[in-house]
Parts: sequence; C-alpha cells; structure tokens
Amino acid sequence: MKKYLYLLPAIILLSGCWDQNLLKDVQLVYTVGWDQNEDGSVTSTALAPPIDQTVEHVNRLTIEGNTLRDARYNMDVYVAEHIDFAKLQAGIVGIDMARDKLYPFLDVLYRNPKNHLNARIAMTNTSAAELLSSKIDSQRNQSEYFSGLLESSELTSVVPNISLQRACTILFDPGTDLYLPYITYEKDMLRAKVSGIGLFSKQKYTDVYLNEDQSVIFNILNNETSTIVTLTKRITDGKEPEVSNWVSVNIEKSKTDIKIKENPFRAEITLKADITISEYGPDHLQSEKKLNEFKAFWEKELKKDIDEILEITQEVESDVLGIGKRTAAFKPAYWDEERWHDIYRDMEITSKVSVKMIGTGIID
Amino acid sequence: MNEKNEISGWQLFFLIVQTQIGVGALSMPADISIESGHDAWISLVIAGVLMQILILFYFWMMTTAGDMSYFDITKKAFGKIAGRCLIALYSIYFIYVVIVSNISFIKVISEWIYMDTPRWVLMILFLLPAVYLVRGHVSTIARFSMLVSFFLPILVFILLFVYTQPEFLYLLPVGGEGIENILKGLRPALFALLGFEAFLYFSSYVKKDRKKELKKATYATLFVFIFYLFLIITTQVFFYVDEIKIIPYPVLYIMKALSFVIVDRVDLLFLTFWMVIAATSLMNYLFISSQAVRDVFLLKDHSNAVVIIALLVLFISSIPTTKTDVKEWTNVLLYLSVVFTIFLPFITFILFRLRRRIEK
Repeated sequence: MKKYLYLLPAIILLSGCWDQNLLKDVQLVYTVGWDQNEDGSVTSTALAPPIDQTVEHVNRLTIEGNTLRDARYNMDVYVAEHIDFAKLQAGIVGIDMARDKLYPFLDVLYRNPKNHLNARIAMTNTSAAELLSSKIDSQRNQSEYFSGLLESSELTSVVPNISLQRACTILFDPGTDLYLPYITYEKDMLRAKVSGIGLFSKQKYTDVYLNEDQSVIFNILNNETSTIVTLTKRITDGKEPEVSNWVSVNIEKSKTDIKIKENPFRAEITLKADITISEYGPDHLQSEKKLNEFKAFWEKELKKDIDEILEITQEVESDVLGIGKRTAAFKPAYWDEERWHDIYRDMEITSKVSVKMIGTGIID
Repeated sequence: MNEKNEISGWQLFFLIVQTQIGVGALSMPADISIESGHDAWISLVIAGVLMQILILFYFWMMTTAGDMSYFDITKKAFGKIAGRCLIALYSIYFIYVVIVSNISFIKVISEWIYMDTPRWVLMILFLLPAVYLVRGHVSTIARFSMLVSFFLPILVFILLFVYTQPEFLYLLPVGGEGIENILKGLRPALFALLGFEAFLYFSSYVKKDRKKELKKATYATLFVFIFYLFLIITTQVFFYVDEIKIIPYPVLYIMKALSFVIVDRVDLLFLTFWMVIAATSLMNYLFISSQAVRDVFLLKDHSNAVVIIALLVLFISSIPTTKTDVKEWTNVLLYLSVVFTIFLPFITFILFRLRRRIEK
C-alpha cells in the first residue's frame, strides 16, 4: 500500500497542461495579406485551409483594425475557433503598405513568441485583399497556393527566398535595402504570377520592380541563385525558323564579388560564371572559334544587363546589393548612414564579366 | 549504495562547465552587443583571457593549500569568528545567485512557451528535482552534470545551419566600435562567463592526484569560452547588430527562424533540453550555498540546509514579477559577483599565506 502512495503526486503533477493548444480549437492561417487603408488603419486578409481536405472552399476573412494585432483579434469574433498564425506559410504585403515604412506594421510578427519566422514574405501590385480574393485555378488549396508559387519561383532563381526573419534583418540594416518578390494577378490565366522583384528604398517601396529576366541577373549578382538558372537571348537575326535565332544557357556556377575601392570612391563588381548551352537550334558548336564567339556574346550581354540593373537601382536609390553594408565594413571612412542613399545614387559602379563555356549538353 | 564523497578531474570539469552555462548563454550575445555593438566578440575574448588568468590563480591557490576546502581556507585566513561571518555572507550571496538564476530561467520559459502556466508551478517543478539531486553526494551532481553536457553538441549542431547563409560582413570593421565600447562590453561578458568560481568550491572534493586532476578542470573555462565565442559569432553573422540589441534571447530567436523538413520551431524543442542545462547550473549553485550554510551553522551534513534554502528561494523568487524587476535583480548580482569571485578570494589567499608564514 505504501508503495502506491508515491503515485499520488503523479496525479497532481502529470494531469493536463495549462498551455495546451489543441488543433481542433484553432484555425491555422496559412496565407495572410496585409493592407494599409487610406486612414492609416490596416486590413488583414487570412486564408485558412478547410478541415475537410476534400472541400475546395477556403476560409477567407478580411478584417480591419488599427494594427495587425488588432485586426487579428477582430477576426476572432467571426470564427468558431481561435485564429492562429503559428503555421503561417506566406505573408503578402499590399502596395499601399509597401509604400510606407514597413517595419512598424510587421512588428507584431517578431514580437509574438507563437509566430514562426520562416514564412515567406512577398508584395503585390494591388491590394493584398484583392489578390487573395481573386479566383485562382490551382491544384492546391488556395491557402497554400502562394507559398508554393514563391517556392517554385525560387527554384528557377527568379526570386530569392525572403523569409520574415530575413526581411527583418535587412530592414534593420541601414546598408542594405529590402527587396521582395513581386506578385501580380493575371486575369486571363486566372492565376497569380511572380513578376519579379520589388525594390525598396529606406524601407519604402520605390514603385519600381525588376522584371523576371532582370531578377535572375539580380540573384546572380547577389549570389542567391538556386539549382536552375536559365537565360535565353536572341543571338542572330534572320535565321529560319525564328527559334534558331535564340540561344538558351544554364549558369552552372557563378560568383559575384563586390569590391569597394578608394580614390575615387567606387564599387567594382566582378562576375565569374560557368555556362553550358542548353538549347541552340542550329547546332554545330564543335569549333573553338564558335564557342569563343558565344563566350564574347554572353560576356557582353550579361554586362549590359548588370549595368541596366545598377542604373535602375541607383536611379531609385535602392541599395539592394548591399554596397552600403560593404562600405561600412571595409571603408568605414566613407560610410555615412544619414546621407548614404544620396551617395549611392551618385557613386560610380563598374562591372566586369568573365564567362567560361564549360559544356554544350550531350550533343555538340 | 555506498558512494564515495569525491570526484575525479573530469567530473570537476563538467561541474564547472555546467555551472557556467545556464540561461545566460541564451541572452549573452544580446547583453554584450548592447554595450559593444558588432565588436561584442572582442569583449568576450578579452573577458575570456582575464578569466583564464583568474582560474589559473585559483588553481595555484587550491593546490598550495593542500586538500582544504575553500571555506576552510577562509576560516583559517580570517580566524574562526570572522571567517564564519564571511562564510555567512557567502551563503547569502550564493542563495541570491540561485534566486537570480531561478527567476531569469522562469522568465524565459514563461515568455517563450508556458504563457498560461502560473509561475509558482514552474518554479516548484524546477526546484523539486534540484533539491532531490543536491541532497545527495557531490558525485551525484557531478555525474548528472556530465550526462547533461551531452546536450551541448545539439545546440552547436542546430546553429550550424546559420552558416548556410552567413553574413560575415556584419563582423567588420574589426574594432570599429572603439576601445571604450569594447571595454564597456567586458562587464556583461565577464558576467556571462560567471560560474567558473565553482572551481573554488568543488576542487576540495578531488582527492586523488590533485595537481594533475585539477589541471584538467582548468580547461573547463576554456571550453565554455570557445563555446560562447561560437554562439556570439553565430548570432552576429545572422542578425544585424541593431536587431540583436532588441532581441533578448538571440540564440533562441535564431532557432525560431530556422526550418527543417519535418520540424518547425526548433526553439520550442530546444528549450526543453535547455531547461535541464539551466537546472544543472542552479543545482550546482544550490549545492555550493548549502555547503556554505552547513559551514556557518556547523551542521553535520547539508541535506536539510538544501530544503530550507529551496523554500527560501521559492518565496523570494516570487517577489520580482516584472521585466524591469528581473533586470534590476540581475544587475545587483553584476556588482556582487566582482566582490565574491575576484576580490574576496584574493584577500583570503593573501591572508592565508601570511598566517601560514607566521605559524611557521
């Protein structure tokens, strides 16, 4: 009998838990959109998957509030469960919010211990509420669609993986400006599309974005490419059929170095890339002369693209490549946090590209 | 079971490691960065070197004193009455250390996972196993410290994922924060490394081959120093420095942002491991304080003292409730620790040597 008395404390100590969070009591929001209204309040749009997997319908809620946290609690009044962002996959910033200083809006995401910071963040060219309530043809449930969309674009190196945590680090760093995947809605296709990368300057969207092709080059410059990096360019004119004028290449390996130099103060970008040809109609790529022609062609084209991107970013004062960060690290004498964006706009940035043709696939 | 009341050199090594590594490790990068910005790691290196010198001094002191315990040395140095008064002060200090490590740990888990569980329940659950273990021989907690140390590689392993996308530029320019700020960072850095004084109190339990065995234990501080250096550099290449300053527990926060194929939110899983590591730190301090109490009241053994101290800790720990309270209580410790880990051992030892010379 005495032996069993020891079990008594176990009854008290092991029964239940104050902090239980049962799945049946919560509505897990997978995708959320944030907008700023004209009066400065925010609208939050949440997509949660239905409990029954066979049902196609998603739970969609669009609620206003003074802050994001406020809107989230306002939501609770409308659902039978408790709204929970612990499994958030994607957050989409509407354009009106993006145009304003971003961090104060997102603060709650970083402050609340329940949130998970690996969710992807992107922006859209309309209001997030509009994008999330548009009809979308997709194999997936719409609540999971947007994170899948971003993930597949990351695979082809169109956009980098920007998680909430990364966005926060970049927002805090005065020497780098934020860049977010830019999502648009295509009416004819009934689909959303990742159209490139939106450029920010001092936490605010500049109303300029890099298109898909530029975005790939941008990711190469940022050394943030994924497994597939493909570029297609028109190389000749007048060949028949038209496709013969185009050549596609894979960038197998690339490395960009950004060096800050003094006297005068400037940045030097050097890109080294290993390329294989993945598609070229006319064939016959045996001769070294031909390959050298290709090499020269790609070096010229890449340099042109890079210079174009640099020009765009300098024009809108968006230091997305982190040249300020490098200046602060290597040449602190030139670093001026207050005036950095002016300096960046007017500074000289040169680029150099060297390409190595390492293969042509399994035919020549 | 008939256990010997003694430990080996390696056991002492792990005792010191586990006393040093507690909750502080999770917040240490932020505490130092607030003072010395992106050069926090330099502050830590300086603090580490200072501490290594200090522990070598302790080592020399304890080997020349034979196998006397530190409190015996104190009694010898200051005389019976003054010595006992001093040990009484020590016991108050160590009870205070136990309280602070208790409240700061409860603060982390009640903010991070157990938002709804009452604090006193957490405290009881935290103190209960500690009391149970500490009532026994020193070899019990030494073995437990050794066992728990195997959790440390898990932390290193998880944090290695930061190096898939590190930003080493955030460490540059080296020394850019200026010497003044780096020296300011010394204070929290030394505070983070606190716990090495365990060497003084546990070394008398090493009976065989003292010189050789104690030497092994001096590597403990080196180990913890390298471990902390890894932690601080990892957080600095992950966060921008202004971000670290507003994140009280950067090490945990990193894990919140990592995602693995099957497991999200590694921080929650990890914190459950860390509870055990934080508990050993508290246990070791509880043991030291009970030893001090035993020597003050000349008790036969320390097991009853443990229970009383634990109850005291439980009650006093419920006084500070807000964030600022906890910070203030911790700040007091910052100053006290300088007195009790650096100043007093020095004086004690000088007096001890003088007395010896006179006796001869």
